Amino acid sequence: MRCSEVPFTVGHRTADESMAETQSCVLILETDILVRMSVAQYLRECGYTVIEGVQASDFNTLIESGRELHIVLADINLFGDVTGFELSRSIRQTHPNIDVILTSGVAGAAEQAHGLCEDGPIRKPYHPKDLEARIRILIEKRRNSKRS
Amino acid sequence: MDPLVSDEHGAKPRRKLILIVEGDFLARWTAAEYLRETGFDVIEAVNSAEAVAALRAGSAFDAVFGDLTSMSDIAGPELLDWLEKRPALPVILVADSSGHSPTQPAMQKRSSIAKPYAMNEVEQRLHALWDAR
Repeated sequence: MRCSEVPFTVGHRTADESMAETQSCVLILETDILVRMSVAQYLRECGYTVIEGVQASDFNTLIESGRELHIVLADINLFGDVTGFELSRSIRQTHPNIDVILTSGVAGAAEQAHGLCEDGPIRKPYHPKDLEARIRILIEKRRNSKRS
Repeated sequence: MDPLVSDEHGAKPRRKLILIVEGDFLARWTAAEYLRETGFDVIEAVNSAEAVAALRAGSAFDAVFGDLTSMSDIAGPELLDWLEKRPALPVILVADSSGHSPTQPAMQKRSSIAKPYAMNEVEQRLHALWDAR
């Protein structure tokens, strides 16, 4: 699975903006290694910095380390006591500058996630290309809101 | 030191692929990031069940770097069995806090490194193991 589109070819950007985009940092929280490794590899090929975790506390550890984070891609079911839903809600309150995309293999998750994210969770099986498109839209929205 | 490996039949060289098996998020992230920035491809497993799943998925790993004491399922028998059957595969294991290397027979012959370790030291050890083959 290769990255089909490079994120920084969209629209009209300056070289500086392209550089900024290559540094967009994504935390993927996913307990299935085969899903995690293939999605992470795809996103890395697209130019993102990808950090891999399996539980909500990994998000806290990352934040405490001081690393700048832009997107959290979290499955609804995680290791540990905190679900992807709960983590998403918490991030919205404490880190409104970080976007969360939920993923789920569970039927009915879209209804449960109502109000947590605009477009609802991405249902498995999904193609990383669709995921990357959503990440790109979120980053684009942030960039535009900074400009205006 | 070249992180690339040449395939047979003169195919384009690929990056060497390293499996990291580490239960601690910060240690795993730090190690994986270092090795990727150095030019390796890295697969990250958080426990031995994940390591076995990655190994079964068929990737041709060039080395395994693991802290088997950091995992919730302390080196499951399947992972030990897999490693035992591949004595030529370079493996570096992190010794436990008492400084003792893993006691399982499959692990005793493997290279071990004590905490705290620097990643450039791990990298040098990997190259030494590849050179020794």
